[in-house]
Amino acid sequence: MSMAQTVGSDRSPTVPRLRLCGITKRFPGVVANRDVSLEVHGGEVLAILGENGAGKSTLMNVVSGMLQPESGSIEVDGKPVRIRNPADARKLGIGMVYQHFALVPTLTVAENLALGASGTRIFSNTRRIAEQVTGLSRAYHLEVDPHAVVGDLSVGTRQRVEIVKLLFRGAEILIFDEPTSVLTPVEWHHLVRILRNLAAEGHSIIFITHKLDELMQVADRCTVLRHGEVAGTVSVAATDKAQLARMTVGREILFQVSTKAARPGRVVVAAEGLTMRSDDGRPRLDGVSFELREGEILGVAGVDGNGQRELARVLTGLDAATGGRFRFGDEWRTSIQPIDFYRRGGAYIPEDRHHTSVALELSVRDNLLMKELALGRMQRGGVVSERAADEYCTTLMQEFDVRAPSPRVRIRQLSGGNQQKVVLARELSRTPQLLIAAQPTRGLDVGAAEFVMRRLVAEKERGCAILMISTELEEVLQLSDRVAVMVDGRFLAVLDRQDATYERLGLLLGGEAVDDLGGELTEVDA
Amino acid sequence: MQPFDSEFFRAAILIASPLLIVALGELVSESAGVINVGLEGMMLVGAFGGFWGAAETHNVWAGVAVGLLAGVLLAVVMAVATIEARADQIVVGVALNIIGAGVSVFAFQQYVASRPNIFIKRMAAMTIPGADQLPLLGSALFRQIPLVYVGFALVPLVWIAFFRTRWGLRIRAAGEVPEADETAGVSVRRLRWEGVLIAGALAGVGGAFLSIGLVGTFLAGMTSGRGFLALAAVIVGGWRPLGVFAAALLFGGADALQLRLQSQSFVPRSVWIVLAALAAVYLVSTLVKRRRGAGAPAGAPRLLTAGSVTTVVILLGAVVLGIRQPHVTLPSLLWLAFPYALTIAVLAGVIGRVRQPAALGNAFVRGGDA
Ligand SMILES: Nc1ncnc2c1ncn2[C@@H]1O[C@H](COP(=O)(O)OP(=O)(O)OP(=O)(O)O)[C@@H](O)[C@H]1O
Ligand SMILES: [Mg+2]
Repeated sequence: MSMAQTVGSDRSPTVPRLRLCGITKRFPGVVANRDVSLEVHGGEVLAILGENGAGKSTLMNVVSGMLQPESGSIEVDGKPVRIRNPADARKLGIGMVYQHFALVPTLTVAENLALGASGTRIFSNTRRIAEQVTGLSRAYHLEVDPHAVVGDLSVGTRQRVEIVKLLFRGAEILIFDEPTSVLTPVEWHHLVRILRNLAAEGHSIIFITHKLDELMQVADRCTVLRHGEVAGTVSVAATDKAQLARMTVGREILFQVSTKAARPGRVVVAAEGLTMRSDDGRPRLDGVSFELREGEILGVAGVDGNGQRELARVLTGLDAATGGRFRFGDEWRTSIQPIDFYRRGGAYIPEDRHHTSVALELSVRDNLLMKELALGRMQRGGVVSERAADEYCTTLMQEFDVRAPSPRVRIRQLSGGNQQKVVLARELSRTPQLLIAAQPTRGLDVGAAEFVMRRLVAEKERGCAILMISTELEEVLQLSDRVAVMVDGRFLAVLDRQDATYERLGLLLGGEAVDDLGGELTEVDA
Repeated sequence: MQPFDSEFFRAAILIASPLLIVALGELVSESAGVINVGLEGMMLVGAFGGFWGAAETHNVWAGVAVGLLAGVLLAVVMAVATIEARADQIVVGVALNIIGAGVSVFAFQQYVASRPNIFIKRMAAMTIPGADQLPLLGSALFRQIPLVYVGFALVPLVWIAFFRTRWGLRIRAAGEVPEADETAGVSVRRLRWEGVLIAGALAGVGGAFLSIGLVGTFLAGMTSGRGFLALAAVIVGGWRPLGVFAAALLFGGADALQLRLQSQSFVPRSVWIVLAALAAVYLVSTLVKRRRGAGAPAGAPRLLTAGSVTTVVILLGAVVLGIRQPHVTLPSLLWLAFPYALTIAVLAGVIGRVRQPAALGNAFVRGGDA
């Protein structure tokens, strides 16, 4: 640890910066963490890996003071501490970047930081804070403009704002809960560089992820959780993806899903010049045309926010097109009622779990049932058939391995990945003719992601037409029969599978930047 | 220019002031994420408290203080129920309205029964000599009771607190993304308590304004919906202090106008002219805004929105009525409804255009999200 000069250099390098001993945290019906112990040193990146619902987020919420454990102790720099609330954690130099960012979109970056500024000043001194932001931003290559309104920033930039926020508050232990599920490749490379820089300065970093490639790139060590317990800790240099996957889910994971070439049948959906303008007149969708046939997967690759969301919303009836037309079935139209979309055999996995796909305050069961009920099933004379509904839910939860104490718990209480599985179960169980899947594996552990990819392939082979929208090129390339590259609300190109290579897609999406950062990345590593 | 003379403006501002005070308190509470629909009840207990305090001590300011405390008392109930017990904010607010109405009347009856000849002196106007002689607005701005000046002083105070202090940032965050406060080590619970108590205190003062400043006694249900108007003023004002100020003035103006017109057999031409002018200003400002906001190369902004069509209809109607000058005699009850009808119309126009605090109405649970 000779690098650890800037931060905590007065402390003994042999004493871990943060140490958890025997942490146990229960929720009604589940033990989220059982006797968990781990440590992280200064200048180190520790990854935490584990299945959906293994207790990773819970453990980190304990460290950051959002939750209180039933038993166990925490030491910072060898001294036992009590973390009763986030303010305590902050005083100890612990800061966390949440899966859902804790930033106020209506405020500027500097104002967001001023919120948490300590001291007794009454008036917020945003000017001085802005200077500090600029300083930190420069020191760690964060590229954050202190005067920008957070709501206008891209997801990747918001994440860097979170990092600035933590550093500004003097955090030396930085926790990231699935930071990359929403980043573009460019942003990811940028983040790796930042994290390695921070570690080189002596910060400690804890990094939760499901993506093994990323883990291998950024972490020094990895602790694996299973069913709330520590399954083991390994040095990343001495392991490989296969072993990590085995430790995580307890079985072999094939990183390739085998898929047969498509045998496309009749056209299921077609679009001609679909256009959608937002209220201010800007085109969000700008003349999209395509045909999608039975038994094929059309992948839509692109950086978040280039019209993918609007495309899905128009096709599923959540929004109306302002120009062009599409058909699902025989009639050409500019809009469809959502219920018609489902009646005709449509299914939709939205990207935005908390706002579109589930009702957080309803139970798992109600979330599973809602579309069935809308379609008039599982009921007699308007009254839900309890027996049939329960049976249906239990079967689905088993099939999709949804980990919940009971179908009756509110879905809010499930881990992020398990919420996603509920959505998948609901949409895939109806043997759809058309499936629109946006970021279907976002937030899923390796095992579940593999399962979903297999399911998508199986649906396709059954004859389902699938529009798969994803920001992850790997995923698009593995599953798609054709790949559409979406930029600025348009399909820039639609490539056949054999023409769609990682490099080509990267180039079409503005890939020079990827290579640039990749180059610098190796320098930092060296 | 009848009826827009200096007396009209004085009345408008006098009527607008209690609304302004109450609405500013509600603005703070809603910005912190707690919607308080119990304003009406809080105003009523404030009105009685003010009356009682002023009668007992023969001091109007002591009355105001008692009114404030009475409002705070109900606010404590609100805070305990919604912040601590996480009860639904709307339900609690409605309950408080019922309680406030009942308690204030009951207490008043008991009190008057024991002290039959009780009366209070109304708060006296405070004149800024010289300035009050200015034409048209002089007496409106410089010959009012001190509580009016308090209301006006609150506007910049709230503005500065909101936009220039750390507390204001935190309050606004508590209503938008409470997690941002919580992770910064700032207690959302505490901020929301502060917001609710401030709303209660100001609603109490607003109630005392009615009994001490406006009427000179307590009357059952004397708020007659002003608590709900204040709620509307926050929305119409787009959750911004200056917007709330403008909304309160609009309602005050409407009420003062209605009072004036009640006694006349026809609506003077100047009213129609003002109405037409307001519609025209609104129309132009939205068009300008849309032109500027669009900035999109393709696609002309839509001109035929429901809002602009309605405004054009109002404009033309006002012009026609101004020329024809029909004799309208409405029963006074319908005139009384005028400010409320206006509120509904303005709300309908404004809703969907302003953004409410994202976390408004949501109970906050630490570590609630997995
Ligand atoms: N607030 C809560 N109330 C009840 N149960 C909860 C709550 N939060 C989490 N749990 C449960 O605790 C367990 C661990 O959840 P946690 O969110 O820590 O998992 P995770 O490892 O982060 O999973 P993922 O990879 O899906 O994010 C899950 O079974 C979950 O249902
Ligand atoms: Mg999690």
